Amino acid sequence: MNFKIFPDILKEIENLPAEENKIIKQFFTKLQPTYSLQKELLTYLLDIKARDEISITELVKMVNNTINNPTLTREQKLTIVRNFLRKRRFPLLTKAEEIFNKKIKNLNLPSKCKIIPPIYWEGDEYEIKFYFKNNKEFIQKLERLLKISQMDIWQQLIDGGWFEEIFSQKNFDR
Amino acid sequence: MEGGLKKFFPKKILIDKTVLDLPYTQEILKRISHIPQEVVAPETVKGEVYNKEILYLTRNKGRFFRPCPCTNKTFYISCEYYILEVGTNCAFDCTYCILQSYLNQPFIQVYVNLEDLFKELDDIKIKFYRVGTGELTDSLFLDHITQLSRYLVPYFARRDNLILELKTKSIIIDNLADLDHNGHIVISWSLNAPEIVLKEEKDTPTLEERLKAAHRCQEWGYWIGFHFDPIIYYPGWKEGYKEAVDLIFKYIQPEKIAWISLGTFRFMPSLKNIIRHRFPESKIIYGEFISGLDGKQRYFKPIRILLYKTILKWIREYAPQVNVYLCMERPEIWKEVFGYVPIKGALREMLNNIFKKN
Repeated sequence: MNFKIFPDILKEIENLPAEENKIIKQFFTKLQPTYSLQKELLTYLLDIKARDEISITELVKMVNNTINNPTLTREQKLTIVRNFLRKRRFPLLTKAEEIFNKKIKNLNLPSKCKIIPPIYWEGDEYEIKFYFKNNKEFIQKLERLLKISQMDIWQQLIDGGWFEEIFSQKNFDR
Repeated sequence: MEGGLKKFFPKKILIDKTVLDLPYTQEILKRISHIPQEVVAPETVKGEVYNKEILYLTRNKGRFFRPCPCTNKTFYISCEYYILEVGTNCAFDCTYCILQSYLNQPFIQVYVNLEDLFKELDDIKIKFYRVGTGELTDSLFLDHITQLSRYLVPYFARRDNLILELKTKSIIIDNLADLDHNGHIVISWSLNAPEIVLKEEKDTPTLEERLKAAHRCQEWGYWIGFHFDPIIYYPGWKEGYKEAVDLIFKYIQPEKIAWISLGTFRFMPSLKNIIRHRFPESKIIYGEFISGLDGKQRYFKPIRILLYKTILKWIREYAPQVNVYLCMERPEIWKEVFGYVPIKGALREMLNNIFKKN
């Protein structure tokens, strides 16, 4: 595979101290991310560096075990590294996603049914998606969904009543 | 630094040759005759928005009076404000200033074709409008040079369907002392937590200085407004904003507060790199921002709700009746913070009614 670091990404990397420049190039060469992932990962690295006053070298060290793990595929490594950096960059947002997903799981939705919240919960429209094979299954699923709609936990989920839980975690409320 | 800029004086004045002979231009130039001046052809003027050492007297070739270009009103609730564009840019150098990415004109500009401005205002006969000069500049930071308030305040005092808001971080209020405002003027201050004022609002007066100025304006009978905007979520925000709220009510009687608005930090994505390069020590761009429905970066919704609810609670403890509103926020956030969502036009009416009742 012909991997390249894209010119605008390279330009940003070139502005960094030589050591960090080298580390990021190695990091990218090992993981071979696509253009959009290069951009995303570099933004995480630069933002975390500036906010937490930590060097990029130290940050990359934290994921070295993953990057050098021979039992993982490149895609698996990329997913783990991306999740790690995203969680560090957006601790509240990722905590919210965890809480929301856990609550959804506790609803005991019908099989092959998915609730999709507005992106980052910024809008107010939720989406529901489910599959059915026949009318009987369709009605069964609707009935289950109707029961769920009466539950407090459901109401809390869609009106944002659970948001405060995010801040109740230690170190999350500034 | 105690107090920042008390009075700003530019290092050089450029004068658009087409406005040189206007009486208002001459009046301004007399006041700053000690500063080097150069008459220029407007098409030759080039420079950057960050150059705040040059004051450029020119004409507004477009409209002075227009709806506030705040944001996409489909997704966010607007207060339906109008702006009076009397100039652009300001002498303060706030890290978060959206003008850094919004303006494409150089220097600090003051529009001196006042005749056109008042003609436009004369043509507004029917509806009721709240109008402000502080969207693309600070309303008062140059008032010791321009004395624009001495033209605007008496004019708006005579108009029954126009309310003027002069929005500022400055303490240049002396011109307001003896003006007949007729209750049609709101002098408002942008406020922030003391730590944010110190770190992110370079060259501005302290919070306490602003509130002392507000206190004087209140004594002169003006309506007072406050804008907590942009509210920043930073370690220590609770102590900082609590201190700011406490200070407001140390200096100001709640009955004469027209409104307090709350708005969390939001910005077009292009501002991030500008702040990163111009203010590398600032950390405000590293908050948990998501892309809003209007394309602006905004704090993740639960953070906005937490900030608004907490600050509102403190305000209500001092002033249960004062009008508090959110600047360009989602209906769900209104619901969560205030328990209701204003229907279309209701926020505008709530703010207009302050003056109709009085």
